[in-house]
Amino acid sequence: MAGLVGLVCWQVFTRFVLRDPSSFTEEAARFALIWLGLLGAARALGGGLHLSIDLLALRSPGWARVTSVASRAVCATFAGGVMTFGGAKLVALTLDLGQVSPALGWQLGHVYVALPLAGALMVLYAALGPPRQGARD
Amino acid sequence: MDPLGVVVLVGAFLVLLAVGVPIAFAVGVAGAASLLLSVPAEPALTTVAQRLATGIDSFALLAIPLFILSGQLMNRGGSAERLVALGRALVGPLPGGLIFVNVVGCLLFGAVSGSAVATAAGVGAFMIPLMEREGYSREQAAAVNITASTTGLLVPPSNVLIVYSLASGGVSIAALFLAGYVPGILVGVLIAIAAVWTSGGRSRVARWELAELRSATLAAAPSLLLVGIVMGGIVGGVFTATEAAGVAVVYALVLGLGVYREIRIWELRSILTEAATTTGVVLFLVAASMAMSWVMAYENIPQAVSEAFLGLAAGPLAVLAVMNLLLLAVGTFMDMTPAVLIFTPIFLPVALELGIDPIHFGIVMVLNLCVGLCTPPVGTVLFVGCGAAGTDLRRVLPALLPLYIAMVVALIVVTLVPDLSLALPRAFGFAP
Repeated sequence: MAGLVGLVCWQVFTRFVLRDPSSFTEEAARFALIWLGLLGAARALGGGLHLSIDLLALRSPGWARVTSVASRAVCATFAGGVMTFGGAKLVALTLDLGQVSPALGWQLGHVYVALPLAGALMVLYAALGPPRQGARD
Repeated sequence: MDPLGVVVLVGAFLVLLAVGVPIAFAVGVAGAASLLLSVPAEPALTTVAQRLATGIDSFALLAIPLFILSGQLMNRGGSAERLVALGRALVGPLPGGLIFVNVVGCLLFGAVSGSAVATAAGVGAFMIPLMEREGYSREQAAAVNITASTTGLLVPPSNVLIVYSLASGGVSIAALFLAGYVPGILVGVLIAIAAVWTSGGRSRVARWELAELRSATLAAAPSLLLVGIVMGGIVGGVFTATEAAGVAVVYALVLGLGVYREIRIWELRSILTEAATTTGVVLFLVAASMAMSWVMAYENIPQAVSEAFLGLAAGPLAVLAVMNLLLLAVGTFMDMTPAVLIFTPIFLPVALELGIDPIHFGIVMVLNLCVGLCTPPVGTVLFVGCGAAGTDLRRVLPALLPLYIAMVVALIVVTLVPDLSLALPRAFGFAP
């Protein structure tokens, strides 16, 4: 997060003070955003912070247990299937094609590593279960 | 369009939502499941994964984490208190003074913090005890606080309007920001009037005093200057929304650490982590919604919907009315960000076809979904507001009902009078 702020400020600085916008910061900041967004989402899953409807869960403790397990299973399936498996495939595919980013010359495949990484973390968090009550504010 | 794909898409989403799966995951799974019907597993999963990543690969979206961070710095930095004090000096002397103070406080703080949830919590913490002391019921106070908190989403800088700009394929952020002012203030005024009316209008809390007004303005000025810098910079074309957000972070940091001195250096770590997690929640919603929107486009759903709408051969107003009703229904169970991202690509082409201005349409859509933030079963602002007041949904609802009506009246007015949204952007040369 701090790095991201730094990058954008650097961009403003280069543009106004040096009068020569640096194109590499824009690209780096965008990639940082992907990493921040996906890893932050994994963290939020661990903290039970994603928005959801808990009408059924409020009915009774039994319902709460069922819905919690079901919802975690769905999250894990998505994180495992789409993000980890699909993401890993995407990484392999982009590396094979050798796509590089225009300004920095980075392998796009490396940028996409954020997907399987965040996916794996999400599966882990989903398996661990929700945080204890009170940890959530 | 493959009917089965659509049924799976909508059905899976609703079922998952009902079971309590987080909205972002429900959106993602529904999109992936629908695509799996027509495409083999491996390419389907890879494509959805790619859409997730490219969905948030945007320089415009970068403004969102930065505005979240600057908002959080302003929250901790003691802005809420000073803005409420300014509201008190400005509108406290009106009949039903504290209701107006609450609304103005929410408007100002909502603009500065950029988050309706933070506003409900931050302003609510000050205003609800204050209003209780003046004889309002806790539920009345909470109801005003909850509904007024959403006005900050229309009054810039506003992350939702950035999201709309992205979903609409590049409507100017500067124009949207300017367009939000009048409708946002209109909603606030109508909420205040409805609340004063239903509560019978308590006494005024202060008299207009120049000295108080001056000192309150001075104390709040540094907070408001943040909005001034951001808006001035964007509208003046000095910097982009993202760069403005970066500047806002630095400014909020200087303000909290140096001027108001309410943030300690060691608190920054927790502020940064919190901002990163909030960003994760928002961006993952964006990523999943972009993936679903792509799947919908792949299945030609937007074309089918727009043909259906145009087939009605109704005028723009009738179509807007139908869309408003649909969005009000969607807003009750869907959060604002995914709703904007999923429904803009479907509805906007129809609106454009009928000659509706995309800026006007964006404002109508956001205002519409603001109502949804205050209604159960999914109403983030509603729940935070109840929490801040220490009361629960069932007791607040009767006090909320007249305010819902006020919001819907505002929605109807803003829908019918495009000039409310378009006059300011036009004055600055951002709209025809």
